[in-house]
Amino acid sequence: MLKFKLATPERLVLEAEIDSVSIPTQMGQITVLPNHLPLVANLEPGELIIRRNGREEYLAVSGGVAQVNPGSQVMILADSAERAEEIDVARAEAARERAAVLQLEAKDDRKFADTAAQLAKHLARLRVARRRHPPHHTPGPVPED
Amino acid sequence: MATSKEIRRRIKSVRSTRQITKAMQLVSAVKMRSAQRTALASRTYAKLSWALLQQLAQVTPEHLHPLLTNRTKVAKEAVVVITANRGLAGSFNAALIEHVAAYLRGRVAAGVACDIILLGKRGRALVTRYGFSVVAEYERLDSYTDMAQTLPIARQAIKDFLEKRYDQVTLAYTEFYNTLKQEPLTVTLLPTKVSALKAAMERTVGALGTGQEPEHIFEPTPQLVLDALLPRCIEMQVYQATLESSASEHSARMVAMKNATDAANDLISDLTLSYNQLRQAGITRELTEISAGRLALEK
Repeated sequence: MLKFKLATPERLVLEAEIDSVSIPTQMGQITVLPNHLPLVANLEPGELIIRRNGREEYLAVSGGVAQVNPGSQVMILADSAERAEEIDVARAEAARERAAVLQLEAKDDRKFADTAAQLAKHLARLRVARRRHPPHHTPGPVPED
Repeated sequence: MATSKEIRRRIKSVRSTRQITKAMQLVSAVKMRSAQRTALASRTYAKLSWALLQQLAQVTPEHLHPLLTNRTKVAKEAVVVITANRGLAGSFNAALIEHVAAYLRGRVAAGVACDIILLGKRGRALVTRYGFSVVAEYERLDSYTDMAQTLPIARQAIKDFLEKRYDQVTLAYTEFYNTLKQEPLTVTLLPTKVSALKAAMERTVGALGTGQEPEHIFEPTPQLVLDALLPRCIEMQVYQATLESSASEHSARMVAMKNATDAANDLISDLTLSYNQLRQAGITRELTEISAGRLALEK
């Protein structure tokens, strides 16, 4: 079992015992199992996958830092963390489009990097949100006959 | 001696004042609770990020990071002052402004040019009453629930510091201890001193570990992790300061309004007593006059 803590500046999002967690880091996605080596890694915007009781939970995180301590403790300090259920797909899509437009308008390298990071964040949110609504399935009224 | 009509009018006016102070007391109590809750909710992050920073400071030489480096000569300093937008909160604003003014006088005497950055309208007294120069004023929101709300302040401070516009950035706010105790405080925000940050965190979060942790692998490198973490710690400190200030403000206002309500109650009972005495005296006088008149007629 992993002792897992996920905190954002505003709140403690999750504190639980889990089986494993996949973390999007700057060096690629890593999966942490119990007895992992002590590690500190920078986060990338992406999806955080928590596995417990045979189920997978998806969260969208933007930047931050992840820390693995001895004794199977994992702590994640994220700038933001949202569960799939909390993300409104339509609004996330609109935000992504706005970010894409802003990136095209970016004048210097710094602006471009900022907007690229924003875009990556929105893409990650969308990806997580779509986990709940798979694209091949259209939610709607069920035919009666 | 006031006439009974005057006393009645005064009772009425004190009553309506009491109604207002009572309402403000209740509103502040609710706001205080929510401000305290937000302040508590963000402490986990503050605590964890501090512990990590301390670990990093041990593996990376402090002088390598520009945000950690002390400037040899401090010529220009920015002071971020967090006050309330409104008054009627006891000595909340006055105490902080006094404290900041004393601090600024000390800095000016030491040959440092100080610029003030305001958050909250009440801080304007620093210009009008003490004549210090204000370079920027941020709009103070009614409640803070998201770090994005204070991000511009922290980002601008970091930018100005790195561009050498300022050699030091100081944060002045009111620290919240409990409902009855709040204290004005100045802390150095930039350059970040790990020891000072520890003190700041311990004031709000309580005792922390020694940071004697086993060796970690840092990905990509300790330097890059520090680059990512340090600005976040600074942003967090500004956010935490606004939360502390909000909690202090609402507590101070609640206590002030409670005192006002109590004082109004005392005043009303005093006035009612003298009103009744006056009424009694009037009745007695009239009775004597009537019986005197009757005696005069019987003769």
